[in-house]
Amino acid sequence: MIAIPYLTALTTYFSYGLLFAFGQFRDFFRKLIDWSKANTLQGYAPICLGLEDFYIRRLYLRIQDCFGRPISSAPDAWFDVVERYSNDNNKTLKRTTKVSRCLNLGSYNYLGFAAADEYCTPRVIETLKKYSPSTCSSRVDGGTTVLHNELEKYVASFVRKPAAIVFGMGYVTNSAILPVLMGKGCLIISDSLNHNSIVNGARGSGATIRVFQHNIPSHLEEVLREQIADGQPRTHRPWKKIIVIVEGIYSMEGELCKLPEIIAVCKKYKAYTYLDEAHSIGAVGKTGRGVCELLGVDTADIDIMMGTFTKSFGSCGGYIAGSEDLIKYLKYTCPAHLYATSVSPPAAQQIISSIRVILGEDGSNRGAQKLAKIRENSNFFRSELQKMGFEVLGDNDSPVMPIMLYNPAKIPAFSRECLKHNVAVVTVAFPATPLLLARARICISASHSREDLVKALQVISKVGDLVGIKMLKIVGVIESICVWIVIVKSCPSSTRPRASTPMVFEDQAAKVVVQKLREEGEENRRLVISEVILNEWINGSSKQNPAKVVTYQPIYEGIKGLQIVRVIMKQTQKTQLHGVKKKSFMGSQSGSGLVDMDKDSRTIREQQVSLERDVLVSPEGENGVGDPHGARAGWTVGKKGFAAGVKEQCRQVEALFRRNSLCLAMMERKLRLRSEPTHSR
Amino acid sequence: MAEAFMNFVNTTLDWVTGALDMPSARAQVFGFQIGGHLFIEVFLLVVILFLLSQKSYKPPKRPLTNKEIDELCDEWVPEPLIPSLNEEPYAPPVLESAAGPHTVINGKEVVNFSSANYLGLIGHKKLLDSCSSALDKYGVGSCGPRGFYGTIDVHLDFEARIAKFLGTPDSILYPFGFSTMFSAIPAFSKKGDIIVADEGVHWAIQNGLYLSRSTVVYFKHNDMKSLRETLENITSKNKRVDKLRRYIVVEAVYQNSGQIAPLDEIIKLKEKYKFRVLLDESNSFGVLGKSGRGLTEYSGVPIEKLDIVTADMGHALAAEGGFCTGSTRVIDHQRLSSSGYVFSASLPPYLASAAITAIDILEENPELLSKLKNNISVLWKELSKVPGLKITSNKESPIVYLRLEKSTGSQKDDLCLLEKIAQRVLEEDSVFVVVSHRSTLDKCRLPVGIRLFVSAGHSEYDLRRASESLKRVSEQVLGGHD
Repeated sequence: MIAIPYLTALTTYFSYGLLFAFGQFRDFFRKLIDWSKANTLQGYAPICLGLEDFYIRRLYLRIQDCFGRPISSAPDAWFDVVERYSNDNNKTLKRTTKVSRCLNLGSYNYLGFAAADEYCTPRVIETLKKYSPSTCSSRVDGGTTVLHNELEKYVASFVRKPAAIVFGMGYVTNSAILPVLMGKGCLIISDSLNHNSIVNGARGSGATIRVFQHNIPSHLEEVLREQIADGQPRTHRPWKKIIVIVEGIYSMEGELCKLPEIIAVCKKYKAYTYLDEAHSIGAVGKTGRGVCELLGVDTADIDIMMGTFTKSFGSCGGYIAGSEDLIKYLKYTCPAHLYATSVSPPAAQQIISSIRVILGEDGSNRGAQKLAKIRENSNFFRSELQKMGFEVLGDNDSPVMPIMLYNPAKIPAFSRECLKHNVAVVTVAFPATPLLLARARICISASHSREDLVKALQVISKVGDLVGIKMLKIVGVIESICVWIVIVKSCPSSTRPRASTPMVFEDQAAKVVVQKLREEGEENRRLVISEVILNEWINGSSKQNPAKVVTYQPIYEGIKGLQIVRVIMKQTQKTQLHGVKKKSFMGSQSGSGLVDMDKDSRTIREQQVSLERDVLVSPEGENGVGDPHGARAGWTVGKKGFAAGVKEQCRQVEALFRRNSLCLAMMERKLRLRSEPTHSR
Repeated sequence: MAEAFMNFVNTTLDWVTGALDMPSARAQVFGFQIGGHLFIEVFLLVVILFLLSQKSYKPPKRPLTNKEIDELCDEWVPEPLIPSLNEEPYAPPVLESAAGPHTVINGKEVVNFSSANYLGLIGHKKLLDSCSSALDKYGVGSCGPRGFYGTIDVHLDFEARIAKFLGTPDSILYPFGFSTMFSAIPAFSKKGDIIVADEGVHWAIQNGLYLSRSTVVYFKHNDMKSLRETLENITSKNKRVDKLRRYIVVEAVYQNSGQIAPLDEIIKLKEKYKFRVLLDESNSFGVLGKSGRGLTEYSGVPIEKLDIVTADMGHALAAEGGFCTGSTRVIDHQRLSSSGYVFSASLPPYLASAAITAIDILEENPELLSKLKNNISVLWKELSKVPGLKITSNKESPIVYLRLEKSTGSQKDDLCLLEKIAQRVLEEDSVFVVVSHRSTLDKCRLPVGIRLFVSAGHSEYDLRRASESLKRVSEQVLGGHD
């Protein structure tokens, strides 16, 4: 859920109201002028109707130069954007022959396969010569070549499912599969922010559709219980079957799906699961196998896995992977298999080759490098954007990062200003997002170099200042990481480190620890965190603490219930801030007292503040020796110099990690002090 | 005993009479004696008011307890995700080379009648050259939807080229032929609008009709009388019809029967009843008409009379994708309202470049069209004499459609017979023909059949080989059934 500040909501509504009123005003005069002219409709009803048409004519056309910018090169890290001009107030745009070389932050070129590739391109051209660009036939007629069968085998083994079927277009994959699987008397439970292709597929199926709140497993459970108990509407017969549809990475939010929890709920209520990995397959996970790999979910738990080849693989088409029987059934009756033209052979070859590169079957480690690069790039870019004070949505590791704009006037402003500085960004408005929640979206690619990203950040920062979208004003940022180590029961006592040893890690070191934990691949156990628990944890025993959790969002989930939660807290009483900070904010139970925040706190005291912090919570804490008071998620803020002092200790801890099954208990990544969003600049 | 009772009755009566004779009971209202009624009526009124003031009886509402819901959830057993399939699905032959007029299956060269490669452009050198230079320049995929840097200059070039070729103001390029119709229809027709469609339209159109949520009325396959009656019915019955958007949806060459729609008659009806026409030219674009401009050219109808024309580029143009052409207003509306255009990554640029080249080739080589027309008429003539099979397709349709003369009664058995013929034709004579497989979702109830896609690349010898083989095999297969 995105919480819009009141003022922003107000100004956004006002802007749209103004645009609407002005548009209606113009329409009124247009009608008056056209009064005398003969009616061109001649008995037909107008072909474009109502508000939709009004929106296009009076709102969209004003800023249409921000969308659909043509390019004249491959959508690589840098591309050529064709310049356009308009002689009629943006109603029509004309191309020129001039191009400007821009940094591409818009394409879904996650792994950098969009441009010519030393391994893929020669093979694609060879395939083109052998098979021509098209088969001109559907899969079931004469459109199945050796290549298509090979592709299906590759895809199935890549996503770790017994069988797969491929289609010529990702959108069609969703919209033609759902009607095959579901029908009357069936129930589709869909995430509220699912892609339009899923929505259309669900509508086309004739099944009943219910929606659960975006990415909230508890609401999904509520809906499931209610629906199973109620049965079909009116007849109250039991549902024939229920399918839950979620996406791996939500393309407009950049969020990762809470897959393990959702799978657990679905299993409990015997609902089938359908996972759309359009944006996540190839882009996340250690070997690029998508969210399942990233979040440690067994693919056997997911009934239908869907994905597209347009994004990470730099090709076109989509796939469905599942059990042998499922695929057999789809081949028997799916309209997209029976009637639609099969995947173009060169595109099929591109997919096969890129999968081979990702898996290292090409004889190099380029695939692994690409995967490491995209992760590093995305996390770097995201954290830098956050530091600048942009309101960035989405989770770590996700290469998609939306920056909230809200006000309609900021959409073209941001887009045009960035383009002026040769940075091409995507701005998204209605109908792809709700009217109020317009945003800019950045897609990071493995082909971006560090210099590219730094340049982009400079430009975005500058434009952000100009446009006024750095909504979170940051007073101070302290970059350090504190890690408590809590030893689980099984650990022999001799190897336990001294109790309550706060460890400060540099960013990189923390990554190593987290990575190690991941590699151990322990079973996922998770903790559902409620606001109440958080309040209790954070405020601890200090009753006088007036801090209150405003919102929180999980930003990382690892093994053993490890969870990093970003908490945004609101200080309710200014005067108490100083005391509160020392008593409870600064590692309430750790006794670290390492922090010298006085300089910052003086600045803070003058204003109402919100604190944003990352908390790492572990259910194992109760048994640990690191935290004698039980599972208290305290934290420590350390200065950078402090880190050097405990580096040696960190090394020891790392060694412990290697030897023992340890649980990373708490981790503070960043403390951000910020004021209330400042909007009306 | 009886006396005592009588006494009691008498005293009661006296008392009642006394009560009624009381001074108040003898009151007069506007000169009328009201008698004792007043008391009784007042009493009744009080009773009625009392009863009304009481809550009506409602059975107490008892929502399910958590435990009961738990039990219900435990009890519920879902159906399997997919119904169990008794038969093995049809396994299509696997091609080992390009799907041109001749292809390789199981190491054997066969004549290919399964590919809608009408102009024989698969493997055309110019086409391959334009593709490989596009691949070098643009890579394979476009990595984005049209709105977000997925618009490559070749897309715009293609849109301009196709509009110029067909003589329309503008056109829009879709990433997949299959998605063109089911995106374009819901963009223009919403709940309440009326669509009159042919019952033989293919699934992509059926899906578009369903997704639009409009009122859909089907008329008999390619039957103008039925169309007129349907239109008459709708316009006479519905008074609000003037306010609604009304469409006729037809295919130029029906994929499900090979018949050609009589466009001139449809236009007459459309103008009479004021309907708009959506025409799918997937199997006629690049085939019909003097210069391959499709059904409009073939039937001499100016293209402006049609409102929306769509076509699949995966047929005559030997590329992939689809386009829609029409007035600027119609096209611009789709750029923001058509789901398959807005929410999907755009067409790989090399395919757009292939399609541009394909149109160039078509314009430069009119002999391709005459060759194709000649091939169609030769094959049609030859196949009209196949024993046991009947041609349903039009003489000029590039799809030659053969159905069983005598259906067995069930579509499944028909399909089995036809499949047997197709299989034997392939195995014995190396001629690759296909049977029209239907999805269980397909609402089209036209008879199934063997489909031959004629190409300009077929030689006379290929055609003869196909027809002779079909004749021989169907006589053997169907001969036993008569």
